[in-house]
Amino acid sequence: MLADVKSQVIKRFHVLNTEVPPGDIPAYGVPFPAIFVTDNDGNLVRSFVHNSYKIRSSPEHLIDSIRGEISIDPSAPSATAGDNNLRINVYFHGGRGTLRQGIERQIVVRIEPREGIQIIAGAGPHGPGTSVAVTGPPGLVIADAAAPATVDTIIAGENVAVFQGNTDLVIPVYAQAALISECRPIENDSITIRVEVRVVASDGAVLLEPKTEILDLEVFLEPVDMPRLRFHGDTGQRRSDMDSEPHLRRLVLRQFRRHPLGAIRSILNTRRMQGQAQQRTSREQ
Amino acid sequence: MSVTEIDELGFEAPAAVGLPVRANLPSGMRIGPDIGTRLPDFSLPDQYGNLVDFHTDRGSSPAVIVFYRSAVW
Repeated sequence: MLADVKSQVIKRFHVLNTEVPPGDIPAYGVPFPAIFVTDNDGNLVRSFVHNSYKIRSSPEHLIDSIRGEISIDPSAPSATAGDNNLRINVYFHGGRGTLRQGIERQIVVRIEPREGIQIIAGAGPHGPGTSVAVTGPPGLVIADAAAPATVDTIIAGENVAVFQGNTDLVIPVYAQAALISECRPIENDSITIRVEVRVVASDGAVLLEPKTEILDLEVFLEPVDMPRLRFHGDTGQRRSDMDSEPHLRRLVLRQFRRHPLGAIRSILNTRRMQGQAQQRTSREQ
Repeated sequence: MSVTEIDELGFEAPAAVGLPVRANLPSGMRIGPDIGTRLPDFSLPDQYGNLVDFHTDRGSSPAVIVFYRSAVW
């Protein structure tokens, strides 16, 4: 864990939060959250940047980007279906089968065709290609599926885009407050995510009958370790073991010593924002 | 007393509100180095006060750098 007290490295990496003006003490100098993965030579191979600090990737997905492949924990929630031609495995990847507000997990649909069977990716004269539809309870945000590269081949005289060999389709998901919040106890321990997979395949000569499988994943809702800070109050969630108060006090004092005027402005500004928030909250109730 | 409210992204957090808006990345803004470029050299102290030199200390291994606001708030 490294400290960039003067934000020099943050600036050199171009991740300084430009929405916080220089006079805004003590928040000025914080980065937009960002994660950078390098290869052996220190070159950037992948970056993880979301448009809000409240949306973050799971650690497992960082590890995947280093290894260059998806490594699924054997204990991940999974479901499977299939026949003689292909197997369909569905996994909930990341967080050991748990969901938290804002932390991105992945639904991984792994299609394993038998030798000689090709999975058809794109639409064509045969109709739509292979597709996945994910559904879950309200508050589960489901992104579009990401698919691997395809190659073009000729099936029954038509040019068709196919996946090569075992194919992973990846659907990012995360939870909003409607499903799990950091401000109240968790009501239901788990939820069900339904994955409908429609596989269009060929044996190299002719199209096979499209195959639709419905697979369910049971996923657990996990409490968050809240930092122990007075202004967080009692959230009904787990409390971190670490007492953050002395650290935060030191951080704020350091910034205030450097910029005394900014300090006064900041206190007034925070009071004003808290007041506005309280008014909004009481209006809603 | 803590104040909570649901923000524009559908999240709820027990913090002083009003702050989240400026924490979002402006739309269309790109941050960080370009893919394929070598990451900048830097050295920073760790939590024990030891200076860590990024490229020297990672040797010839891949590395992950996580930029995070703070460990305490």
